[in-house]
Amino acid sequence: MTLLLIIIGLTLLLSIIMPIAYLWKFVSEVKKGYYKTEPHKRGE
Amino acid sequence: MEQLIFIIVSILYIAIMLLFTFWMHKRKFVRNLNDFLIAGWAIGGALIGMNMLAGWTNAFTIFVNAELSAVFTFPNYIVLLVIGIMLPMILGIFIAKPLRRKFSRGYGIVDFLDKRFKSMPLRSWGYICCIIPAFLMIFANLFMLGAYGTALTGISLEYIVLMFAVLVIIYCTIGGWWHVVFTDFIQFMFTFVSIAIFLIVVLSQFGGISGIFEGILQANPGFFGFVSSIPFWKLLVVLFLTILAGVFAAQYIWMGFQSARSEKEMNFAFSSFFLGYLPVAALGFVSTLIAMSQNIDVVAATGYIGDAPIVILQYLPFWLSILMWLVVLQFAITTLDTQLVASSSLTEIGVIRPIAKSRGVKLSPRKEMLFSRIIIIAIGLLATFFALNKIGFVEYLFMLGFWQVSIMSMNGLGAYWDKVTKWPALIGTTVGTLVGAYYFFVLGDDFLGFTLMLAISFGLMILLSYLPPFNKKKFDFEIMDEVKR
Repeated sequence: MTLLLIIIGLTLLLSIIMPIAYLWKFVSEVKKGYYKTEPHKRGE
Repeated sequence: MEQLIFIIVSILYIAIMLLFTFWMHKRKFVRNLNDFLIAGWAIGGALIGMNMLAGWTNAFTIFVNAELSAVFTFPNYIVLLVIGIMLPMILGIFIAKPLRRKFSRGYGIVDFLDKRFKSMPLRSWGYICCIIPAFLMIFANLFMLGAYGTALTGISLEYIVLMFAVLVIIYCTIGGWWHVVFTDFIQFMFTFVSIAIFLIVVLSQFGGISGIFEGILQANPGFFGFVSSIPFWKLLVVLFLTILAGVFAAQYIWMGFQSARSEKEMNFAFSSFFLGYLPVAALGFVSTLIAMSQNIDVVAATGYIGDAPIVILQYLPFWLSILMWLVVLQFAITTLDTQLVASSSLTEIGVIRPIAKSRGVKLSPRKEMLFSRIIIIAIGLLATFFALNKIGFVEYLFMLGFWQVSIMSMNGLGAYWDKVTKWPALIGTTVGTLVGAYYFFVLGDDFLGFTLMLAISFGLMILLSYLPPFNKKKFDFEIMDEVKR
């Protein structure tokens, strides 16, 4: 029961946290200018 | 009525993807060959992590996890999942790190083998060992998408395969690796949200975790105890090696971490990639747990023990079936596009460019891009033909790991060790592969096939590198790095 609780709890937590973390990271990348269309303007 | 809703959802999906492709094309992300093949080595960690996960998880993933969790007891399955699958996924960082430092502007495996060993046979073998698994994944995923699509939606297999194959070929041909990473990111965000919704609804519908636990205890009291057996440990080793080889010798994983703009971004991708696998696997194993706790006979319903995610849908509201269709669709599409562009870059860099060079022809970047696009269309159409004719794929799919394990020692030692040169690598790989092939294909023993193949090829390469006449020359890693040069 404990193993089941831990695994399913972790899974639920990850399935909610992962998209938020990825989106957070992606937005910060866009803000840094990683995905500017002109290659020479892409930030470091 | 229900079928009509599925048709509308599928058409909407295709329309959104095509609109996005059109928007990306207008913004001119793809300006040259490097943009097309490797996104100009300019991607951040979020896109790479998601793309690696999206390429890694395919139409089979949830059903394979459902099968493993039904065949083994729960603690055994968790050991397989964590040690056999998730651990080797993170170990991929050990090949990514040296390559990132020594070979930061590369195009994947064949390019690495070419520059590292300067040997035509090794490069060609590397190409064969990468293109076969990639092609198998493309047409098997197309077929699986059709088969599960038909089971879920009632639309015929031919229509589904054709519709989505054409969609993927169109956007891969137009946008290459830039389109693949962006569309995979967007699709997998939806997949994660869908998984969270599915798990929450399903768990609450069937009495929560304690309800499932008690249901299974009544039906199968031994399910929560660990059972140690020789077949289990053998499977764990085979699974571990197959997955490790999948990371060490899959073109799309190499393209993923090589297209990272810095080592920091690559580290983010690897540290998140293995964590993301757990929710994906959960879609399979939670469905199996529910089927068990409710005494639903999955084998009687469809004939395959891993079909629990489909079978339990008839006990759930209709909108969850739509959600499941979108999830299966996204798993298949994200793998298809990643593998298609990976095969195109493999063929362009590993076959077309060397042939042109050996004949003294200098191909212009524009021509190389045209060739890459033609390769995508050709491989895509060939895979569609295979999928439509249902050419037996299950037998071939089990052989997927063989090719990747064959070049694993070459990639692993080649990336780390300057002492190993062309001849030790060639002899080690040839002898290891021949012995492995004998056990794997002739005797049908995948455990001995994989372990002997790895032990012999690694052992021979190390031994020969210390012996004369191979121990004289060391490889200079500096010459590989175009940035430092």
